[in-house]
Amino acid sequence: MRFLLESFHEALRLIAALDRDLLAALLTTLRVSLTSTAIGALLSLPAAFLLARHEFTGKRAVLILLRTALAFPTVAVGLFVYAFIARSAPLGSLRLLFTPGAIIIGQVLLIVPLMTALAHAALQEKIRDVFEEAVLLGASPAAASWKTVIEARLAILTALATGLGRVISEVGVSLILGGNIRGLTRTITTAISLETSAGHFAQAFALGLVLTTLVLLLNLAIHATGGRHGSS
Amino acid sequence: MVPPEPPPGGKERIYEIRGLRFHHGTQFRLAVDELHLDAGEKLAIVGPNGSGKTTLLRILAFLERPAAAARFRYRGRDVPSRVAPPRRGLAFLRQQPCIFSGSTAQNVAYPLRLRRLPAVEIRPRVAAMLAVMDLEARAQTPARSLSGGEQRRLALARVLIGDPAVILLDEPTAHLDKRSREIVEQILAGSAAALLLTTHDLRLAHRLAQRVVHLDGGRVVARLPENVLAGQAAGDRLTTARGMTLLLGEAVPAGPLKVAIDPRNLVLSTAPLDSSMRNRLRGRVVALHERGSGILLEIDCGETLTAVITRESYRQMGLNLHSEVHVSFKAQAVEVLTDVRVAGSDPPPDRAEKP
Repeated sequence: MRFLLESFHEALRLIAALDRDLLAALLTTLRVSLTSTAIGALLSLPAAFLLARHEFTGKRAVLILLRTALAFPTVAVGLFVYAFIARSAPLGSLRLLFTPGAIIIGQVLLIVPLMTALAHAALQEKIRDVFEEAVLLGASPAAASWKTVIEARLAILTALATGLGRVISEVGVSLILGGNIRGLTRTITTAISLETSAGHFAQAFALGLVLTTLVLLLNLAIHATGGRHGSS
Repeated sequence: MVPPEPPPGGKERIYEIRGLRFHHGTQFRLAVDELHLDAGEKLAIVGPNGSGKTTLLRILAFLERPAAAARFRYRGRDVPSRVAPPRRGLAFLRQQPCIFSGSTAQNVAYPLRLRRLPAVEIRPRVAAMLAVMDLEARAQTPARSLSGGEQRRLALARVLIGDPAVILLDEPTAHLDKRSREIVEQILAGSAAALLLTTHDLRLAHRLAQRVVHLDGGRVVARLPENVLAGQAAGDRLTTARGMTLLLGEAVPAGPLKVAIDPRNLVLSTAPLDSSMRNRLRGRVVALHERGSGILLEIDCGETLTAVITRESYRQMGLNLHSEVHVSFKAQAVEVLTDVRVAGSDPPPDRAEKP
């Protein structure tokens, strides 16, 4: 117990001193995960909209696949991408392995199904009603689509924030594809796993605290927006 | 935006439909042999729940495609079966319209904003429309927090602000409070647009519309099952064009009047009845139909009245085509369809809205 308290104390000291390694890991985490979420949103929002808007054979299968993908282990996704970008692999010549770009590719693959499924659920609920009403009031398909997104904005925001939360806290993809290179691909989660295995519990603790705070802030932000505008 | 002038010599034909069929999967939903609507005309489609009224409106609003149609024309043009047809000038007020987030005024302004009108033009039009709907005080209120009746008025305002030439309305007054119903009815009555409304309220249909069509089980029924009669009222009497006189349950202002008598309220007898029923007519059976568990008789008493009796009574009375029968019914059974609220009393609550 004493050991735990001492580590905790040391962790607070590291944070207060703005430890360079800690800051670097935090910045890498933010840069990589925000980029992944942005790219993921660009891919998953239109996909979710098309899924909600159109009926086609095989739609159920797609939805089931998406839901299955929600539970994909991050290490499996990492391994899958690794198989494509390793030096001797088909895309090896791009020299992506162990770069932030590699992590981003893996994270995008990880969260696109998640964000698509969540955004689809949000839009599905609204689309018939809002889209149809807008069209009846004279909106073009594009204007009606935009109106639908506006009306479902909070649920969509929640989908995006959920995706961001998932990539901020994942470790499998970052470790396998990023290689945990100090100052380049070392994120908070990979740093924690390294410091823990090296026996540097205080550092690991400090990183863990920062990560927890980050996720907490993210959730508070979602909650605040949701609380102000109601549950719609 | 502005409805085109009707061509000389006749009004523009808005809808022209022949031989329209609609299926949901393998399930039959709707069959309309003939239906048309002209510019400025008001047409009511009356039918019970599940009779296909909403489906018909959705087809007319191009939200559903008919399985087949010998002719389906909108404003002189064939409605293409694939691509979305132009819906300029067409408005459809659904029974449960979607109220957008934002204020009441923002909701009403939406159709004008879609047309990219400048704000200086939008503001006064929205304000005027809200005043008509008695929603001025609610202009800045979040629209979703309005009461049910206010939301329906808002939806009507949002439809009307675009100045449509054709308005489809699905049960526009169902489940509305009295105040909202009066506002909605007054506005629809004064509208110059072509109206096609569905309702299960026969009184409303006859007050608002020049033509009333019945829809039952997905089919347009030519003859109304209710006995709808028009004539001149004086005191508590109504005299039809063909000279038949009816006694009404209450005195009404003199003038033209429409009434309805539920066929189930007609009592048939082979001899005159000595009873409290004040309407006593004599006539001949001119047609007989089987209708569900009963027999539907058309009786010529000056006007043709329809009566429904059970098979049992039919056998006992020994009626045939051309049999002479006496028809009796209470003055209270004559339902006044045209608006007589000026006489002072409130109309009785709509039958169909009772749980």
